[in-house]
Amino acid sequence: MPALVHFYALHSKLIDQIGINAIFALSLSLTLQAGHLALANAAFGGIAAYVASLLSISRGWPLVVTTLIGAAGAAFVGALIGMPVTRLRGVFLAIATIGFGEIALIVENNLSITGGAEGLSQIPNETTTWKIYLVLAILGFFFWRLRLTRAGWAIAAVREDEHAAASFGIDPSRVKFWTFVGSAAIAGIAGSLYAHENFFIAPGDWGFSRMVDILVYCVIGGVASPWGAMIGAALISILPEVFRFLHDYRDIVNGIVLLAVVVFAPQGIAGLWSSDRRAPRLASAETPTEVPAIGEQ
Amino acid sequence: MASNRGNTTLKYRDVGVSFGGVHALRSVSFDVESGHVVGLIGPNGAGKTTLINVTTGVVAPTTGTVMLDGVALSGKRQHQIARMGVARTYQNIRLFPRMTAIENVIVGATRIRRDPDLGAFVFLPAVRRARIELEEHARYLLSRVGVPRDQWTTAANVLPYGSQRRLEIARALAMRPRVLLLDEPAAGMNPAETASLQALIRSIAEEGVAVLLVEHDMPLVMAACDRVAVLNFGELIAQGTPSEVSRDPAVVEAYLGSEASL
Repeated sequence: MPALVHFYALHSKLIDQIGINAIFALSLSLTLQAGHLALANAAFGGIAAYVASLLSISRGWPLVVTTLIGAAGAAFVGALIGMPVTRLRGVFLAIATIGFGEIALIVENNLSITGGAEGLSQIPNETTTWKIYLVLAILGFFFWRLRLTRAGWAIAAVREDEHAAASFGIDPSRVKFWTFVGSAAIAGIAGSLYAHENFFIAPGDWGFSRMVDILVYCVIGGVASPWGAMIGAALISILPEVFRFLHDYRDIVNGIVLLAVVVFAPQGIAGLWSSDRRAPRLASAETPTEVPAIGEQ
Repeated sequence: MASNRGNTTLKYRDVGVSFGGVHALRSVSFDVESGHVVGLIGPNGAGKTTLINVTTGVVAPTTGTVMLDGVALSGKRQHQIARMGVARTYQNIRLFPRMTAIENVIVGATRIRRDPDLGAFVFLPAVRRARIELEEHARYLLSRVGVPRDQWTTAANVLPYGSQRRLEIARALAMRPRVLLLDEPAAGMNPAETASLQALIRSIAEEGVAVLLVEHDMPLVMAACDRVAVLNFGELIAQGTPSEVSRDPAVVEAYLGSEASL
């Protein structure tokens, strides 16, 4: 036990970082599960971070309130740009969302309320490790159950074959729109937690390089798997610490890992499990027992 | 004929489709009624698949309308038409590749699922029971169309070709369709498989489904269909019972060449 406390004291910052990155990874995994590549999660995280931080600074509201308002703001902006943008396919959607991210950066750099290029400082340090991992647990539960709902099936069907999904009564544009909005909201939660962890945010925190980091978490974890995304985030967040002795070259490790995954395990870490060992989707595969009379489990 | 789904009629009226001056379909009119199998035959490029695409909302008709029990389908989007109970299979198989056979059938049942979406998050027992029923129904359909039991949890893209074709039909049936559009279901099947397919198609119709069968396999069309419509270069050149159509000189001329006979 003391060893654990010591370990936490030494690495609490990294542990928090892993959790926040995992939430970012989950946000992207939602759109990836529906088979579309939208790259605005860093920007949505930024929007929510600014909204939440400004409310924390000016009103002193608790983290839970500011984070929810921030996430709602990100979701609202996501809905606005999602309407035209989610009609696009493949690389066009990726480019349009990258473009949106650049616009958000320029706005944040030039507004006085966001503190311009200097950013916002003196954000109350309200994020704690348990809060991050509570959010992660709730999101994990959400993604776990989502697979079993009609919405979850629709998302998977659209990923597999949009056209065939439509011929079974699933509206692909609706699926794409709502996964985009949901993804923006989750990214918003991550952004707010990040802001309240670090005292300080600036437009540069939400740029393309952060977006690439989030994408790398998901690719390493296994593109359409929320569990993989979380594992990928943890791995990529830890590696630079493990390879600290490489000094200036330590970021190379991330690149090498990414290359290795793409070449040797294109399905990512989640793909290393064979398909019959993945989380069961069928009720009959979940538990061999009969249906309990009251409640489940 | 037993009909437990009322009387459904799919009506094509003056349906025409042109792609930039090329007429894929010209003024096609005929009906498909519940309990009946209507065969749609014609040489390659005659417009058979285009007609299915018009019915399902993939292609908008340039002229004319498609009506399902008096409701115009033209102008509706693909998923809306599907929700009205129009199911299809694909000539070039379009299963959900990385889903298992049973999962494909469950997606097919999307239209008839009634379990509340939020129920899964609060572990509602009713939702669990609904899921189990859904899976039982899917297993029933897989055995009905003849996908071997040991393939039920196999990913669709690694199933044998014949099973993929059958799975296409099971997935469409999962919707409990009023209208079923089969696009060359017998392609690549051997005579024994085709014979069981014929029995399956008849049994589907007898449940009150209106079946449109696009097919090149003449013996199957002759045996399975109540009526046959013949397309040639986008035009309906004949329709009637299989024996009437097979004796029609215009059909023999256009479809089989003047030398051949059915």
